[in-house]
Amino acid sequence: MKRSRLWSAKSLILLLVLAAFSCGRPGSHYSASVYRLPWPGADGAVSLQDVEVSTLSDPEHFSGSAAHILVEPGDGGSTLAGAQPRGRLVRTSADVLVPADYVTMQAVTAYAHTERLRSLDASVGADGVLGYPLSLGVEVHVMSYGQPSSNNAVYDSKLDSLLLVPYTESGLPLSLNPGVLAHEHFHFLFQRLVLSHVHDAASQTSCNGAAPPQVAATNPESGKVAATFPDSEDLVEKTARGIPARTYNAYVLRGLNEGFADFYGWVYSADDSFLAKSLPEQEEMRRLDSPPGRLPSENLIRRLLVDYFHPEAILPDVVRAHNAYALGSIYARYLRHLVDDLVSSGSTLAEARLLVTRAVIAALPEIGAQLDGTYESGFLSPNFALSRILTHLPPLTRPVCESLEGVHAADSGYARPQACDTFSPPEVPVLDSEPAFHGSAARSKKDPRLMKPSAPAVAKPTPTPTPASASGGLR
Amino acid sequence: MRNLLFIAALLVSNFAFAGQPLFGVGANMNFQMATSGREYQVATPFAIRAGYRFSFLDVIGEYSYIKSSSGTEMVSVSQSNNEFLLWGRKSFFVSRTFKPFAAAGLGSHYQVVTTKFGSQAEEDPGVFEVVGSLAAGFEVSFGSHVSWTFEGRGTEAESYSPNPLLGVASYLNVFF
Repeated sequence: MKRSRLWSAKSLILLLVLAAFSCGRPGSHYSASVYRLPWPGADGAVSLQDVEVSTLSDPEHFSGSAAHILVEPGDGGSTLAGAQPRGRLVRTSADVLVPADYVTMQAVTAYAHTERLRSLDASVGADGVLGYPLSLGVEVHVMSYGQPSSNNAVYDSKLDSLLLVPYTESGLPLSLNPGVLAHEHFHFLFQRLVLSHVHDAASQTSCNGAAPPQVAATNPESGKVAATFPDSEDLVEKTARGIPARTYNAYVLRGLNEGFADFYGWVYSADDSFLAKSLPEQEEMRRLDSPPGRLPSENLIRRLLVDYFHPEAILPDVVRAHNAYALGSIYARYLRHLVDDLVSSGSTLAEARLLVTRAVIAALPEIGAQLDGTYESGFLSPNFALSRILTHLPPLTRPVCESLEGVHAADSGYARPQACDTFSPPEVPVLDSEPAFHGSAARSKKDPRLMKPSAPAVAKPTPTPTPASASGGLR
Repeated sequence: MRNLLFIAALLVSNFAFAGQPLFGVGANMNFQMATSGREYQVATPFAIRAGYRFSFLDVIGEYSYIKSSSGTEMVSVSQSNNEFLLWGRKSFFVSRTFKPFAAAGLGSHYQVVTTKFGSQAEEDPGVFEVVGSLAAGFEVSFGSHVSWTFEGRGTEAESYSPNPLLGVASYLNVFF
């Protein structure tokens, strides 16, 4: 019996040693740099692929030189605050790291796109503009106008962070949507190059953080609202003339910010309807290859900011912020249209896309400089930004010039590109009446959210939410 | 898997002649860190045990399994964890019905991830990883053939979070 015990003890030790050395190498679990992620192919369609992510040095904590990502973070005052996340990744025998839960998949995918977008920035002349690593939050609980937000992505200027809000619909989650991530990434650039010139809290805290009221892009009832109140027309005109410069400029800037961001989303994703992949109801308003329409004049923009139900007042901030997306779609489609025009003139799609994107990036500091000292007193021409972009493009052909002439608002501020000076564009009527792109829903009283604006807020680690700014939401 | 079969075969060949066979079924309760890093989540893998009781030591093989899923209508990620541990357990006599014990275990685990993305589905088995565990608890005997054990344990594996993973386990054991 004694011999049997000795033999058994030796065998047990042997077994434990064998087991200890029978498996993987210590410290090697997260050493791979290839991840199985939902990723766009050459045609823009997203599918599961093995993706090299070279800078994600600490995958367990979603941290690398491109981004630091927190899960369910709170408002830390000037930065996102939260615990160090614990990603779940399984390493296969082929040294591929596979996200083992949905949150990890979102975080690693968002990181991978941020890494690629950093390269895109460099290729279009925005290298060094942003300070890396960027701050991102996944599954962020955002309060918008007193309600928990879902199905949105928000660039928050106060936190200088991208907030990805929980997605509950049936499409491609926003956090996995390449175009959406590029759209939000552009807001970082616009903040640095343009909005940093604006020292106006109102322009940066206006609400488009999450779930603003839905307003149709086009509406057959458009234009009938004013007719319902014929006696108020003089009052509307009076209120429109008294619109403060900062209110007007904040609206135009938001339109530019959202429109250019949509264009950047298209450049990165090569998908004209990238937003509709996640939010199908946005297809009509935001699809990029639709005709751009015509920019509203300065006078029309003033009138669009008036609350027709209370003609002595301007629209609530929340409604103005939402309506600016419609203005943004004109800018986005203009740039997209410009790419097509350049392709028609002989450029390849890749060349044209690069040319226009570089011109946009080059124009941003000029737009920002224009705001210095004039934001409170001057009125930014709706044409100004596009005119600046055109100066950064090579000489344009006559068809391109003709095409662009049809988009610019026919009021002051449009500087025709130098290459276009040799031909006379056809006369275009001044668009100075209610345009199709603003639906009457913007002035509807049916949605109580329209009438009770409040700033969006990111939930703090403490139970009490604190207002936060959101200067570039998705919708 | 071959390593485990080897261990099992060795176990049977060396101890079968000297010990009292036992079989146990129960559940573990592991306190794993949520992906957010903000809180602990309780995971309760199902577990079975089989082994031998010797006069000086219990030698027990344990297999546990758990599966979890997360995602949306379009995307879902399922993860299953298979863990194998070989325990050496030393009991300390207090009374015939109540015995505290300490135990050490060594083994391996592997995970399988199934990812569904739209109509696409992929299953990715992970590599085997070493698992080590320490436990302490007590055993309450109900006659000579049935007992109940309760233990607290800390289990270490590179991909466990936190590492070591803390938990408790409860088993109903039958002796033959």
